[in-house]
Parts: sequence; structure tokens; C-alpha cells
Amino acid sequence: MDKTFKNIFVGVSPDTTLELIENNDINKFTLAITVPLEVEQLERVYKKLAVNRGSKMILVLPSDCGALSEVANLTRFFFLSGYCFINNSPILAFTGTKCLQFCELLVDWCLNQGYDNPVFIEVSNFGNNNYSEEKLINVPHHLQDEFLLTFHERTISMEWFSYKFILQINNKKEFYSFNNFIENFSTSLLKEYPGVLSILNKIGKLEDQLHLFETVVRFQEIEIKNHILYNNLIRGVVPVNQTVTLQQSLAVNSSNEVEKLKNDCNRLFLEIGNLRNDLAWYRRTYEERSILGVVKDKVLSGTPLKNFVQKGKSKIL
Amino acid sequence: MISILLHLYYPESIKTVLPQITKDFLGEDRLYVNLVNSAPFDEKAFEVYDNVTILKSSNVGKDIGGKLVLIDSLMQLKDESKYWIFLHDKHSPHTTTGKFWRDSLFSIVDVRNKELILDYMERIDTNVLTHKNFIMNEWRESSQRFQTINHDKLVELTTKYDVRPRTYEFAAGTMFWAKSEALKRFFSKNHPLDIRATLEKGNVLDHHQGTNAHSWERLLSWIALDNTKRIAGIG
Repeated sequence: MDKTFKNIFVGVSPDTTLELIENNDINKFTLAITVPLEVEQLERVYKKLAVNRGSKMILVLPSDCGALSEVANLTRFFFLSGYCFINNSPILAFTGTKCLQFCELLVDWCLNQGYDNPVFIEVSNFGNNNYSEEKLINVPHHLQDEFLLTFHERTISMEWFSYKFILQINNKKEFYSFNNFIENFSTSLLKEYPGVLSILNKIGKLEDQLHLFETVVRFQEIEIKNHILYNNLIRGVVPVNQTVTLQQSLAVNSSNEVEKLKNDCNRLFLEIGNLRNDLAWYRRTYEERSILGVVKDKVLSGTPLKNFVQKGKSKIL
Repeated sequence: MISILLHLYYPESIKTVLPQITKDFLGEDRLYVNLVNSAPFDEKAFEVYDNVTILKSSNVGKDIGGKLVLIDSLMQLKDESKYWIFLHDKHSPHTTTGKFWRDSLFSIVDVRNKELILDYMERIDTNVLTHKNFIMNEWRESSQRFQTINHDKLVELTTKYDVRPRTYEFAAGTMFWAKSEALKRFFSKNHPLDIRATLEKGNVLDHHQGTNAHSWERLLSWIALDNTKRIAGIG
């Protein structure tokens, strides 16, 4: 699937999650699951997600989350392998005003369980132009057509490249329509903008690789500390000069590996930056050189983008 | 009938430890895995299993912290299996027992031993089984003390949680079969994640002072042993 859609989260209620979770296509998207106030409902969702692996997710705290009696039923989701983190911080979205008391409970829980403070992301509404990379932009139903009409163009023109959106899906039927629309859209765009999509896919792969390397670096750094710790233990039985040599040897070897990975990460950052520049250039060049193409598309035969959205309209909403 | 609770810390365990849990051994039973979130695991390796649940957690309390995460999940899922098998890959680079340790302890998930183990476990007086070389008892009648740096912690925790086994034998290495009933009873009263919150963070050692993590290694066996049962050994 086109990597530009990785920033679209599928907003679901607990009931819709239960309805969708056995559909493999759902694993292509990240679920933004609204936390129910009923504990039993939350438990049912947990059971489904724990058994059906593969789903990526974050939880969305409702504005009345202060009514939640305890954090344990909610924080258990953080242990599911598909839960989204930024490094060692679980991500939580919230709508309305953040309930400070409840958020403090979550912060305490994270501290006690060996996590960093959670990352709270505000959900703001689409259409007010108050966009930010730090927010999740909720696209309400009546604006989803408008959103999808311009999504791809505004994404590849870098305007929305780093923004994250939530599209609410209310049932299986809506999801199928949405998924079909995305697949058809991707196929069509692949024909129209092969260069752009190729670059986007490459960026996606490099970002995955970068994430992996960063994890390896963090793990190696922890292991270096462990080796030093173990060598301190060995020091009791190994002559001092040999211990120091062993310790230095371990530290140097591990450090070399970490340095190599860090260099690779830097290289990937540069490469991603260059690709983004290429992408912007491609877009600019396309706009400059394609006046005839735009006229042809929009005046003579109509824009394929609009056609797609119009076709998808009755299915999606 | 059986749930396997596997905690993995090292990414390379995907190649060394995971193949020891064969599909023949697992059969229709379920594998629950906890991966340390700071390590780069290749999760595709788990696709060979039909019945697997994968969790991820921070590195707290060594393998015990991971096992408590798994227990919490099984309790929430209302797991109905009769036996729980605890496994992990964490070894101690500062000791020399590495490969021998692993080969011996993983004999409890060798399909060739499964029938024998089930025979043992079905005995009414047996609640825990491990490799015979790893059954330990640190209690000294003469001094009325546990001969370990963890003595004070063990006294404190057994008193606090009212854990009074008939024998203080335990499965050293924390890889063992257990009848799940006693564990479920205990953890329905004592939340596993509350206990996890008391464990030391990171790769803690108990060479200079007792730790909660090392003490819970013992307690997990004793809770499974219940008040009257024994620990059996194979190998």
C-alpha cells in the first residue's frame, strides 16, 4: 500500500474494534481506539487484541476519562506488541480537556513499571487550519470527502507530509469501503506518479531501517553497561591487569559496533532528508512542466483524483 | 491444557531458544511470549506458531518482571490451562554455565519427555517440575536461615504474602512446569503488575545485597508448590 497512508489512523469505538479485528486488512492501519468507561468493554477489547496479533494501536482518552476508576485495565494495552511507543514512552491521544488527575496516575504507573513518561497527543478537529505535527487531526464524517479529495496532493506536496489524521470508521461496511478506496487510489496513483511513490516507499523503508538501528544502538548501549557490571564482578577473581584488558576489550568492541550503527543512522537521516528534497523537487517540477497536463486533466477529461473520490463517496460515508 | 510463558531478552534467542519450542510439543496449546522492548527482535520468527500471543515490556526485574507481565495477561484472558510452563533466555555472562544451563533446563520442553512429565504432573502431590540439577534448597534448619544474601527479603516477602510451602525447594533458573491453580489463586488476590512495580529496574545482580527480583525467583516456585505439594525433577 502507498506509504503516504501510513499517517492515517483508523478511529474506532470498542465495539467497532471487536467487529473489525479479525479482518487482516485492518493490520495495514494503526487503530486509534477510544477508551470506553466500562471496564468490561475494555477487557473484551483487550482479549481480542491479545489473541489476534498484528494490530497496531494507540488509545484515545475521552474527555470524561476522569471517570475511569483505575489505570490497570487501560495500561495493560501498553504490553501488547502492537501498541505504539516513542522510544520508551507509550503514546496516548486525548480529546477535549486533558484530565490532569488521571494523567498523573498514568505517569506514576509508567514510572513504576520502568517506562518513561507517556506522550500525550491532543486530538484537534480538521478544517480549522490549526494543524501541527504534535497533534492528531480528527476528520469528522461530513468532511471526509473533502479530506480524501486533497489528501494525496497535499501530502506529496509536503504540506501535510508529517501530519497524522484520524478517520472515524463506524462499522465493518464502512471499513471495507474505506479500504477499497485506499487500494484503488494507491493503484491509480502508482500509474500517475510512479516517481513520487517510489521515493515515498523508499523513505518508508529507510525510516523502518532507521528505527531498527536506533533500537540496536540503545540495546548495545545497555549491554555495554551490563558488560562493565559483569566485569566488575569478575574483577574479584581475575588479576586486575587482565580484568582491565578484558573490560576495555569488551567496551571497545561494543563501542565500535555502536559507533558504526550511529554512523549508519546519520547516513539514513541524510538520505531521508535528500529524498524529501527530491520529492519536493519532483512536485515543483511536475507543477511547472505540467500545465498542459493539468489543463488536459481538469478541463478536457476531469481530474482522476476527483473521480476517485466521487466514486468512493457513496461507499465511504 | 498447557500455556507456555516465555520471556526473551536477547534478540539472538529467536535463533537459539525459540526453536526449542517445537510445534510438536506445543500442539494445540498456546505460547505466550514477552519481549524486552529495548531489544531489536525479529517478530516474523513467531509466524511459525498458530497459537501465539506476543507482549512487550520494559526491562524490569529480569525474567521475573517479564513473567509477571505474562501472568497478568493470562489472568486477564481467564486462561483455563491446567499447566503453566515458565521459560526464559536470560543467562548470566559472568558465570560459566551458559550452554549447559540452557540445554538442561530446556529438556522440560523436549517433546520426547512430555509424556513422562505429564505422568509426574498428574500426581496429586506434585505441583512443580524442573530439571533435577536445578532443584535447590537454601533453608538451613540448624541456623533457621536461608543461606543466601536474599534471606531478609525472603523472610519479609513470605510473611507479607503468607507464602508457607512445605518445602523451601525451588526451581533455580525459574524454568519449570507448574500446576496453574495455586498460581491463579495467588495472583487473583495479589496483582502481578503491583508486584512487578516493586522489582528492581534493569539487569539487577544480587552479589552485594538481596533483591526483590531474586527473591521472587524463589517465591514463584513456592507459590506454585502451595502449602503441601512437592517439586519433582527429571533428567
